Amino acid sequence: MKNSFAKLRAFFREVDWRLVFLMGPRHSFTPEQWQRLDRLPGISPTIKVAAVVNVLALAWIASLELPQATARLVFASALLVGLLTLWIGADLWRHPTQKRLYRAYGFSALPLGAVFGFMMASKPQQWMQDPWNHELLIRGCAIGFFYSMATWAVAMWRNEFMADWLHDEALREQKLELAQRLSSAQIQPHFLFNSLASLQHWVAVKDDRAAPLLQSLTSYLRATLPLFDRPLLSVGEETEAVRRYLEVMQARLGGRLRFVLDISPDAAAAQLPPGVLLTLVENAVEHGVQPQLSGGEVQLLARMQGDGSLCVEVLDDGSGPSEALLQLPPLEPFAMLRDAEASLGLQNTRLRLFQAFGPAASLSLSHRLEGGCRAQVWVQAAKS
Amino acid sequence: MNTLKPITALIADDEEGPREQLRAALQRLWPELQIVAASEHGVDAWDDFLAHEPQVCFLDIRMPGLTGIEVARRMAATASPPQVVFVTAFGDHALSAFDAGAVDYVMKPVDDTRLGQAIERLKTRLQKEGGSGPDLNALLRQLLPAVAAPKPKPIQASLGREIKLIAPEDVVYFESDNRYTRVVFDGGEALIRTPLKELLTTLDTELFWQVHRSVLVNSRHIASAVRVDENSMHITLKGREEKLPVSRQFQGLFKGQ
Repeated sequence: MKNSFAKLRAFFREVDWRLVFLMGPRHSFTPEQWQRLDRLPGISPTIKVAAVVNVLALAWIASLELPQATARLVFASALLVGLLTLWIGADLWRHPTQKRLYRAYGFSALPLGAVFGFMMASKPQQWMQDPWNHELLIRGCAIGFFYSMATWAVAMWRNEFMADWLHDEALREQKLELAQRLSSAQIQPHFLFNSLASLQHWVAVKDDRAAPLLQSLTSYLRATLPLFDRPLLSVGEETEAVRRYLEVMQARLGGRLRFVLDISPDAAAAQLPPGVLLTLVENAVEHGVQPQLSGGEVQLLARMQGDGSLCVEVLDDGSGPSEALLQLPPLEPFAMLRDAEASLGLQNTRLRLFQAFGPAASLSLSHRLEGGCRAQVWVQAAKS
Repeated sequence: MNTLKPITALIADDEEGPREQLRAALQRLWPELQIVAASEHGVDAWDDFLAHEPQVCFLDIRMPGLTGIEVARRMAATASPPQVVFVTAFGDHALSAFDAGAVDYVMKPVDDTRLGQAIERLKTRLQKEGGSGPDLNALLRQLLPAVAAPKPKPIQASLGREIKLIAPEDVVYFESDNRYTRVVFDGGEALIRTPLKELLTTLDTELFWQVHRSVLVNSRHIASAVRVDENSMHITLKGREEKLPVSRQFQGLFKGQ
């Protein structure tokens, strides 16, 4: 009993009442979205001609088999109403909002109601006795109903179309950006130029630190440049790139950076999309260690759980993640675009994890008890 | 023949390599320039500025403690704002706003041609002695992203065996005392190990005013500012005897209305 009630409730929860009661378009757009929508092509000539032909045909049908004089009048007014509807329809095509639809209904219902009311009030008796007038009323109602439904359908369809288009567009942009970032191998220019600044100085003054820094930087570049060519990479391989990165940073920051890499052998063989570990470690250094006056420590830990799932943790002892990063937005382009707070690198990492593993993978940030940020990646074991 | 005092400069970068590279380049291109301080982070840069009052400051943007932009903003509010040149690695796009010439910037690794141009501009500006105009402050404010004020944490001071927690708003003033900071609050005082210059970055700057390199005072407790002569000023506190000095740099805080 309780079960079937829950089912019923779930069923009705899925009902879109706005559609059931013909409430009109359900999506509303922001000014930026309207700006994007301006890029949509206008109404094509074919559709314009087809619409006008239809209006003419309907006006002709409406005036069939009527006495000559009345027929002319009916044809003209049906044509006028039709063209007006087309004009309203074109407006709704461009701006399919509930407000505009209701406004269109209001504007057309008022004069029609006024004319009809006036005729009824002026000579109600004779009016209904004339059989032609009866016929006229029915035809008028039919045309009115047809046009109002057509207007409604245009607004509804166009509104849904626009929402879908925006969604696709956002997705496309996201993919493009992702591709661009991946192709640039995610080497932060900031990182590169700062390293070169240190290098340049140490070479100039013949400091002994120049050679090891150059070596680490070279290994880092060698490890990261082909990193993104492959869809998946073993944790062990990427850890090598991470180690090189940390060595470069250590040379630059001196005693301010300490790091621990602790990868269990079985975890080293596990596969992840390229760049996941590197992004998390870069974030830990940039937001966890560098802002600290006395420096800090970064730990990268990877291990396999008993059930075969992979757990990777990147820990720092900085000031911890900001509020915005504790609750990451849903992995959906709209939410991700809206939420610029969450770092782009982090969002891309989540997207890459999702593309590789679907809901089996998750990434979250939390505060460490001892202070600092914990970034955690879980990949559930594939169910066989 | 040149009887003018040499022009003094401060350079600040949290990484040794770029800092020393800049120092070497400056010594090569502008030998008369006297580098009075090379600070390792924003907090030191601000403190060194107060200690040495250099006329020129080369500031890295990304530094722990205070960013270069935050430091520049504080400097712009003092009685003798220095000429600021930002030093930045690739990727700090916001700086292109400075192309207008309000503030100069150079990219890391610093190359001699670009630094030479910056030096020429600095020399012209220093000769004009106009200092940086008031628009600098507005510009910097624009650049500085609105940062949420840090949550004020209670000050933990050890008094013998007990550790006393003092809410920042209960503090009347902080004063540097050798390697310690003296915390004077309603009903007592204590010494803490955190240097004053580091406390600066964690406190609400609206509430706590720095009136001297070594004094940070709760503005709610200030009763009056008294000008003693042309150069010296002190403040008196509500319901307290002691007078705190206001250094020349901060006398602009009290100008009457």
